[in-house]
Amino acid sequence: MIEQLEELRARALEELGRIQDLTRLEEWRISHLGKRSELNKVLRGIGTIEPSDRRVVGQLANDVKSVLEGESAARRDQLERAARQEAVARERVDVTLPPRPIRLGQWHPLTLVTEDIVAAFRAMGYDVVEGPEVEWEKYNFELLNIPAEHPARDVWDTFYVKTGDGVPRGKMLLRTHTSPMQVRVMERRRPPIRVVVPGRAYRYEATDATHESEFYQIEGLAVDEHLTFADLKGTLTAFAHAIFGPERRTRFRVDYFPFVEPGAEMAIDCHVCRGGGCRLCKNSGWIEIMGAGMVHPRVLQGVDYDPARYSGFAFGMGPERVAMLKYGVDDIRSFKTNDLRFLRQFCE
Amino acid sequence: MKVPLKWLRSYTPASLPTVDLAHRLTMAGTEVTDVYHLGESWNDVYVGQVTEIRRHPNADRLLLVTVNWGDDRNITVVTGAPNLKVGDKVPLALAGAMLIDTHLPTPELRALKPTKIRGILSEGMVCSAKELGLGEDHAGIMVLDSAARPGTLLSDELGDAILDLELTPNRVDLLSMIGVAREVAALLDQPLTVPQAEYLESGPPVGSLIDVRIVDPELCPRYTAAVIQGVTITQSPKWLRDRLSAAGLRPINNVVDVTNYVMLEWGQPLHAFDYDKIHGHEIVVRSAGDGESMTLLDGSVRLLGSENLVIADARQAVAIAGVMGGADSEVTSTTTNLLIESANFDPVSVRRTSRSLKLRTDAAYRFERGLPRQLPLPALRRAVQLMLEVAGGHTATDIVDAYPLPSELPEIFLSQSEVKRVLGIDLPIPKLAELLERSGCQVTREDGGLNVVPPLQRTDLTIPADLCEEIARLVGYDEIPSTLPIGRQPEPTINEDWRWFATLRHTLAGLGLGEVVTYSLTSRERIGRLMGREGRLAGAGSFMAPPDVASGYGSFDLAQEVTARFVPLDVEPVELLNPLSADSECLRTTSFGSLLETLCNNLRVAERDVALFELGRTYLPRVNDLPEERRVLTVVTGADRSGSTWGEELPNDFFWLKAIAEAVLGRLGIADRLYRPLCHPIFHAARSAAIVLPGPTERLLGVLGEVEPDVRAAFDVDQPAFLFALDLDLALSVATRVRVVTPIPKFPPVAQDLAVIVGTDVPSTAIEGLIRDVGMPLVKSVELFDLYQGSPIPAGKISLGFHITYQAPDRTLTDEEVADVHRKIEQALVGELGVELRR
Repeated sequence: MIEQLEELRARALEELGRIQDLTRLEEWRISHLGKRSELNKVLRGIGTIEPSDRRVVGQLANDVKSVLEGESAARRDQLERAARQEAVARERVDVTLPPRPIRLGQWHPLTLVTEDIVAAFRAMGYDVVEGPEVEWEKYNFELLNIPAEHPARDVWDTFYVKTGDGVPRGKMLLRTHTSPMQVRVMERRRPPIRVVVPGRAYRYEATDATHESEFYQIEGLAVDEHLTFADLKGTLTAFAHAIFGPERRTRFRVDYFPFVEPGAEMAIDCHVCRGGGCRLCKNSGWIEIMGAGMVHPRVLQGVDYDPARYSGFAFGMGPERVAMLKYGVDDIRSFKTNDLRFLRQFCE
Repeated sequence: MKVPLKWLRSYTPASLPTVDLAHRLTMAGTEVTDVYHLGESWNDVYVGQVTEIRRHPNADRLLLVTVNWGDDRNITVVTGAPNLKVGDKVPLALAGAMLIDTHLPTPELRALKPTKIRGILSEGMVCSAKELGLGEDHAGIMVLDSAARPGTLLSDELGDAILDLELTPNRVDLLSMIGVAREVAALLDQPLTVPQAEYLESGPPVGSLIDVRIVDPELCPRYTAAVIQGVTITQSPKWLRDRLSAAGLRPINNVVDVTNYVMLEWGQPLHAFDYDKIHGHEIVVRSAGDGESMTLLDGSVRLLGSENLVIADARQAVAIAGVMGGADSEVTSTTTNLLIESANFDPVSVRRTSRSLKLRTDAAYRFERGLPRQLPLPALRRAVQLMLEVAGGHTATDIVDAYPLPSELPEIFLSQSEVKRVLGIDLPIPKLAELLERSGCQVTREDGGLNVVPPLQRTDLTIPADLCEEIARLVGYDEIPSTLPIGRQPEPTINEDWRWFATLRHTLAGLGLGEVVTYSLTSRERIGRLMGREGRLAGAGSFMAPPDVASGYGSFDLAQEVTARFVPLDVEPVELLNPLSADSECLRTTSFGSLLETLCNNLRVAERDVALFELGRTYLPRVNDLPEERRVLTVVTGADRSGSTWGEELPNDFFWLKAIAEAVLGRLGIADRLYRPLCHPIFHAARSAAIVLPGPTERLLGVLGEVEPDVRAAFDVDQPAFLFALDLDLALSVATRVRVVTPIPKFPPVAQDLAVIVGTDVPSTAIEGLIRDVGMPLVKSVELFDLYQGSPIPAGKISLGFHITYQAPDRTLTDEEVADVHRKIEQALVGELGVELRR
């Protein structure tokens, strides 16, 4: 019996050593360790063995079983690992291949910039309003302290709209700026007022790399008691930091717009040359960003606000210009060409 | 406005480097757009005086000239120029000076080197005007003014810097040298000297020589005039010619030059008439008669009307007031007696006349900006003084001053607290007074502030706010602190529409569509292209006539509504009075044309995968009111898009477009909407739909479909195209962010499939609706998983397969329960819709 067991062990181990795949290993397990295996027969028949031999045989049979189990587990482990390695080799992908072609769309750069600008002012408590692009002359000019036949009107080359007999010629026009909304907002609301007005405006001028006859503007207006020119400077400087970076410096110079007094123009230091002078800033070191000023007392009077009690500031800028600076676009016409090869370079 | 610095410095020191001066002016509101330097390159060129002229020992035609250039500095130069005399002052270039080499085919700057000429060393060179870049004169050496001091740099003698100012429309004062000098003096806190006109009046009383009458004082509030007799018309002296040239005006003769000079100095346009050609020696300022014509100084003959103000004599118009003089009374070489006009005209009248006659003169440019009524007098006196100086003669005693509408300079009260309220800075009253006095204001102390009378030409200073700006300008905007407003905040209001626009952009960009921004200005031609090539879709006279193939689909009313809302081609667009071009003559009434055009442009450069959207406006005229500006979302796509694996292309179709529409409507929270079959000329008659909001009267929300091939062909789109448009005015009025959450079911669902064969005229929504109605409340979802047409399904029929999911919120459904409902659904479909069940 003992020889039989030892011979069994030797044979099983020898067979095991030749097994190369998991199916054969399973067959081997069934034949050597399964219910019907020789070893199992020995273990089941242990009761029939001479009591004197029983302990030794039982001991040996158990030893053989645990050896075979241990060896086969090790073999299984080995084969499984090999199989996995083979699978990995087979399933290898070239991770440098392009991704599946999911196409994301994108926002137009002008809406992106407009949203950025509007967000900066919203954080300062400004509300967004929009207004009509076809306007009355009254709102576009007269109530903004730009009387008819005043040379100041020459600054705004205007498209006029054909009207029926009920409206005198020249009274209806395409707004030349978003500033008419200053008046419309003051008519509708009472102070404190803080609004930004994004929208489209029109100028009668030929389109070239820096001029568009149709363009966008963002107007801003704050009216309350106690608003000062210092507040205007602070607000617009905070805005410039939000949009162009906290390290930007701002510069205010005197400028003239009939609907503000005092009037100003804000520039930021040139991000290309850092003030040293370059082509972008025309060697001045500064880039003009927007016009601004304290709301003119006549504009306040025009909407029945008491200029002795209320003061305010207004500002206006062009998202095209901001986008050109932010993204390094050198031709304003790119924005309305709508070439996807241009547009797809923007996100969100 | 061109400002030569030398001229400017005759009124105020302006002692500061030119770049810094330009910067100060720019920061204070007057942009210096350019600075020209005359004599910038004359580094080693001095004023020299010829002390000796000898023959060159080795050459007959050359001279040895000794030139003194200050103290005992003498230098000998070799020259061939024949025009020199001992005592002449000449430009002397020393070694290293940059001169224009006139011997080169294209003259260029070269550094001068000492050279031996025929054995004699020439250490320097005496120069011609051409060699200095001062003109074309190269015939001889340039002889300088005899007052020039030897040894001074030539650039100090002749050089100048000219500032080019870009003026804002409010600063009419800066159209004069005195105005600019006052500005510079104020900015630099330096003195200002205004020339005083003093002369002797030795002629007869002016009243005996000329009579002035103003018909309409509103149009001519003041007319002053002087008469000078016995003048000699000649060339102006060099200083006068030099100053005019430097300022950009061409010298003409002494009389015209003086009027121009005084205009530049004071900003007041003047006109000199030949006194002897003024008939009746009388001046009448009147409106032109209708049909009256006159010949102007520029030789043109102009037909005038009652809207033009003229200066007339007893017989005819002799000048267009404030714009241009007439040829008949022009000062010529034989003129001996002068009438000089210095008047004030209504800016609007001058502007209208100058515009309608297209005569943009320096005079009109100044008058239309509104000149002060006090200005004609000092300007006239200055002109008389200069005329006597440069043209001789004697002036009449006294001048004419017809001043029917006198005006006073404004007196403005400025309180200290107002400065603080506007600027946010606290300045003591004496400081305010000091600043305003620097600007030339007359200032008197008053309780709590100042009474301020601005200087004569500063018409921009009329109210306290103007004075606040003046103070801020002089203090410097950079000196005013930056603060953030304190105090009340407006109640927060959220512009919901603006938020929705962002939502729509996020949604559509997420779906792979690119946002575009197109022009609102368009042409009738472009709008008309939507009627297809050669307007074929215009059909029998009306755009609305549905194409023949389409009869049976959709209703005529619906199509008409789509036209009215999205493509109102029958509406006359809002038209411009003054379009830039025929291509942008009117505002678009529909977004379709712009988007199809943009699609075409992109398909040209990218064969596929073009999907675009725009959130834009269309403009519909209203009677006697501003147009209606409608907001519309427009989506346009080409024939295909990228698939999910490399190189794969998926064809776009109606249902892809509908998926986009559904995604948008889903985001807007518009769950209650219906798709109605549509027959509209813009769209493929069998592959388009209108989206409507249900209700007692359905409201049209949107439209989508494949574009009719004839229409897209008119926009050069050579592949199937798809359009979806949504009325945002309506959509945003019903959009909602409210969502009611239903709990996630705890009990398992049971899935059953159902396949039916049905006539193609039965809409799928009818089947789905019936399944849901009959299966209520156990039917959780109905999902189309199969759609088949063709053999063995008979023609006119379609096979549809649905996954139906049954689920109850409170229990696990039994097989019997599900089978029971499913059977009822089958029976209903057969009974009510006549479907055939497929097993």
